[in-house]
Amino acid sequence: MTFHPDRHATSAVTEITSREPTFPDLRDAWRHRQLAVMLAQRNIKVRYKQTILGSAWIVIQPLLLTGMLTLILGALLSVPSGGLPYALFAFTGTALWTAFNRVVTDTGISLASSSNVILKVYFPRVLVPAAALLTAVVDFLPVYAMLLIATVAYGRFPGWPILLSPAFVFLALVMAFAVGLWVTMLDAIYRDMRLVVPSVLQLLFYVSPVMYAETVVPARWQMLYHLNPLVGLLEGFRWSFVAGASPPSVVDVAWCVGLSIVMLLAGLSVFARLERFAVDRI
Amino acid sequence: MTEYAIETETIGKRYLLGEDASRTRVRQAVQALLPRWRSGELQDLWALRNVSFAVECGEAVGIIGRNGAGKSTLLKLLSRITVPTEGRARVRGRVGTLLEVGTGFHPELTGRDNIYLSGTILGMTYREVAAKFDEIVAFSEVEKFIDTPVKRYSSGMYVRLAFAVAAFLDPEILIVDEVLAVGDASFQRKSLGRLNDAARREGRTVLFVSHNLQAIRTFCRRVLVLDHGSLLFDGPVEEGIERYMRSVPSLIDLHKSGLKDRLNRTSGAVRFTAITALDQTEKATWRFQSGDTVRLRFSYEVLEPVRDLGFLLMLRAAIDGQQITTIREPLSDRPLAAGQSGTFELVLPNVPLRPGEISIYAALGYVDCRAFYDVIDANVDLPLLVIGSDTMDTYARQGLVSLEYRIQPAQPAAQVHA
Repeated sequence: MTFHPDRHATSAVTEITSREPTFPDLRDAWRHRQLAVMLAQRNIKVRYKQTILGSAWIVIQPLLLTGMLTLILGALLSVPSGGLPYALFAFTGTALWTAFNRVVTDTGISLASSSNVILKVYFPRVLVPAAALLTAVVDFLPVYAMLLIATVAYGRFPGWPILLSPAFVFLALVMAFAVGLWVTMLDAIYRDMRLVVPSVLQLLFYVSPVMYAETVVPARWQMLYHLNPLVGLLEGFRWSFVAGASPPSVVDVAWCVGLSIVMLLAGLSVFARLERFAVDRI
Repeated sequence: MTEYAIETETIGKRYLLGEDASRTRVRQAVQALLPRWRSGELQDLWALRNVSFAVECGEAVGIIGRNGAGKSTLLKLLSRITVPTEGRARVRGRVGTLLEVGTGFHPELTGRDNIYLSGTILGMTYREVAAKFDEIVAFSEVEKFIDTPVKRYSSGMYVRLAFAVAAFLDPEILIVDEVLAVGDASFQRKSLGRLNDAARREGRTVLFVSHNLQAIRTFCRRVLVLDHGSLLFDGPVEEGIERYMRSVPSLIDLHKSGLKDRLNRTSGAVRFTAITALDQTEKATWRFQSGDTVRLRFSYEVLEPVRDLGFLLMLRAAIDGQQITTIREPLSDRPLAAGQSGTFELVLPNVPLRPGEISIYAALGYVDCRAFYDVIDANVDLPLLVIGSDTMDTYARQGLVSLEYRIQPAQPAAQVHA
């Protein structure tokens, strides 16, 4: 054990006051980034302990949903899928939807479920939701591979647009993360949030083009419908993944990008403001 | 000019009370929107107020006080876990916080994974943990199980591994709560030894909260005494301990201390309601001289019917948790009905204890002590029995007990078997 007492003299001074920050100290968070990686690693290692199929569940969940939708909506009800094979249409939709859903949910409960650590030691709190996001990114990798296999198997490989697909995934995750930041703050204070969030997400699932093409929405509702940022995201993602899908409108994509930036900044800001308040309540 | 490691100026922390039920929280939120006079019902509690002190680099400072005095709040403020309501503090250097043993440990992960996880959470980089990994494992003495999930560990192994991680932290300022109260006596000696190294040999700045006054005496030359959220005393250790002991009431009323302060293994069917210590002259006191008669008077009440009632008392040396003696006595062989209460006295004539502090652990339970109804110890603010002595003879002060002995003339040893 080496220790140099003179290090004190050169050490950084931390001011502890009641002053409320308006934004998280991202530089401090970046210095501690290894912790986010460790926490994400823990999430992944622990999640499927004592399950038989283990991490295969990551892929099984969207596949099961796709199978069910294809059977009922695609085969029995012939729901429009924008001219694409319904299974492929549903798989691209559910893959992105599942990732979005998971980031909102996991980020949303991250702070309260880490209370045992948060109440015992200090580190930049924003790393806790960040670890949840990181976990979701890793979780998406095998799903992404499955999607590639599926699109090639259907002979629908889209060519160069595939290069844009990570950007749409990124946008979706950023948006989900921003929502999750709000949720995790409110969840730490009002546990009702964990009851509200699933209902809201379910609603969002129905008003997003996951299982049906947006063409089924009547013309007079289209404007309103496209306010849902997931519309542009899902269409863009589909177009980047499946040849023959119609490209997303530039307005929709711009709306998504703009909204996710604003939501992320607002989410980080509310996190910084309420963090101290939440810690005393969890 | 002196470099301070820690400086606080009129720091204070207020908590809002009575917000456990989510309904009240909703009501509070609604109230917050209403005009000011409506929100008058909000109760608040200053856990700490108007506390100012400065700690020099390399100084080891003990913090003592009764439960609820604000000790933990102070540590949480200085380690940035929670934020002050008023005032400010300045902390120079890397802070290591040990408020519990095993921060960040996950039961499903292996010992190896937990070392990395807990180490990173406590503030080490991955590389630092990797560099110290072998030392940590050796210190923990769990080499053989390092790739076993820690949920399969015995509690002793778990505590050893968890403490080993903490022992290899390299902060400039070490903030330690009553973490050493867990574990067996040998673990306590080992961890106190490690803390002593940090404070004395490595010259770290240490803030140390403990009920273990002897440990405070060993590591610290200065002590802060907190009482109901304010700083009662800041100065030399002996004087501080004296101040603290004077603030301990002679009758400990346990009605006020909730079940949450007690060990969770108890059913609560019978509860202690009060405990007091008396000397020969019926005077209530927690301080005795070697050889005095000590009388401990316990009161209890029966909350739910029980089939019988037994009493267990354990006396431990506060310095290292070493058990001095255990006493088990039946109080009632017959069932007791709810609402009954009683008071009894345990008399220890001419206690042969040497100077030091004795911690009391008392329990009510089945006559066979297979299960307990209530357990009280330092967690409910039970004071230590302080044994003093007038003798200046070092050899009459050392050790735990005075054994009866005599010296008599005898034949030279070599001739005994001849």
